[in-house]
Amino acid sequence: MQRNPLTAGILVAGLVLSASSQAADVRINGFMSVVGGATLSEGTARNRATGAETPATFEADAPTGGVYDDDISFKPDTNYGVQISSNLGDGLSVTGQITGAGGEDFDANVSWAYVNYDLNDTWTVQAGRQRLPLFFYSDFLDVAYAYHWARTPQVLPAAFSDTFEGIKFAWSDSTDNWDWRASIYGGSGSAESGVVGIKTNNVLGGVIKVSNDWLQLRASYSQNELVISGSPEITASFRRNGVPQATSENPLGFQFAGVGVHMTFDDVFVVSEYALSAIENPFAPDFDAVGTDGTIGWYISSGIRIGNLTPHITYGYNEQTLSREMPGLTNDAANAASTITLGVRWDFHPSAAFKAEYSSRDDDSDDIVQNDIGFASVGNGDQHKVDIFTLGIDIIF
Amino acid sequence: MTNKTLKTLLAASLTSATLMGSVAAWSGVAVIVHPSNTNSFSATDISRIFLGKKKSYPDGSEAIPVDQKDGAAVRSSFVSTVLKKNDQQIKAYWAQLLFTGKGTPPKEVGASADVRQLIAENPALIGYIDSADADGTVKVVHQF
Repeated sequence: MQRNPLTAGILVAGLVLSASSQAADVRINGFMSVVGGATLSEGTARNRATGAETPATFEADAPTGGVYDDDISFKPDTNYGVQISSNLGDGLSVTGQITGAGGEDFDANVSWAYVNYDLNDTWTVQAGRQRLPLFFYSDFLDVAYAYHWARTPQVLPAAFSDTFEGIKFAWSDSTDNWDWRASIYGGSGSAESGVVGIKTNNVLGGVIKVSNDWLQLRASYSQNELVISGSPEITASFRRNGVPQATSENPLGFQFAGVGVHMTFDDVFVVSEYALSAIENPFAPDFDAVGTDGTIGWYISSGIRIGNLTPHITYGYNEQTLSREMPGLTNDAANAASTITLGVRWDFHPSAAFKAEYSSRDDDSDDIVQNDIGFASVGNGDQHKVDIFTLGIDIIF
Repeated sequence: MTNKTLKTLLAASLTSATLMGSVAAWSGVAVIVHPSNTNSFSATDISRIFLGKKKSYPDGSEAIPVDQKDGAAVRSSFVSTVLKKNDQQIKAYWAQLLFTGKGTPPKEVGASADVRQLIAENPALIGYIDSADADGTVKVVHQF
């Protein structure tokens, strides 16, 4: 009997198909937040040069530029994500996550796209596009269902790109009552902020986390080299003593370090983080590239679970200290703001939570600065003073 | 009394009767493995496997946890006693891991009888069932 090559081909294809659909365990998961809100009362930012005053706004999502003003908006905190992952067996899996945020008109972005391979029981390697794991909540910033706030505190110093493409080695193990997790990563990233393009080269960092059944401790370090692109005016503004900076020849060094603690006592939890960042200035080591000694931020938050309700309170503080060494400055001065947030999370459904949240931010900036070279706008009115209220629903599926 | 109120009352009494019935019949939770699994387990070992922190048994062989259906009374009891989390906390916990590539929640496989049947057939699996459903086809390694 002569074999029909076509039939054989179909048979083989069929076998391969059925084999792959058996082995490939494909999962589709997603999340969505629909949040509306507005600022209630505002301070004003005053332009020192022109005297013009503009109302203060509240930036809810720095990476996407989601900003609340006094008109009710559903954009700044509203987002979605769909994740497809497939376990190919023998420790190999692939994951892709598409997200979109109101601040970017819901345009779809690839936030994660990576291959994961379990080298053994304690070591895992991930290669591809991943979130930059700076804070406790960085990894799952978009998944508001996974935390108690409507949005994470906006007081910690942000990086210029929240993703990177590269490789991460993660290790996890446990001893008696403690679980240990550590990772190191490297790669490069990019971001756009309005008309400014930012490349983060030579991203390098690590995270260590130790936890037991009530305590989590976490420390994180990250650094990269910033290269700025844009119009000639923009690139010219990154110039000191006639030498262009933030170029691929003279990149600016960015450094970040942070520590965090999370404690659970029955129905009460307390979480706190402290972080600092600085942009190195190769031409004037006494102050960094934006004229500050760096940015610090910290918050402490607590909540109590009462059935399906979780009322919570958070205090946060952010400060950029302008360096005394700056031309025109006679003493230390801070560009600073503190925020108190009160909110309640209501788990009204097994996969959805309703959140009401009120934040009041005060301007703690020093009001003294003789700032004749156009650096940070300290003392320019109450530019940080703003109250906002939001209502929203977070869903996972 | 309107017909609607009567129906509501009837439904309410039926619901409470069902709830009481299930509480009365529920004798406790047994954590079970395949009879050929000779590992000994502490509550911490079980918790680590079900939270995705351990992927193997103490003897080094692969460990695959299976969950009961969301909302099952046995599952809530297991999650609060062994994993020390409430239903909402465990959902948030897995959301954190799932969307950051650090892990996937255990497969859901229905009720106690389904879990028992699967575990009887697969030495890698570990699950929990209503103690009353435990029989010779599986091995009970922890009970509460």
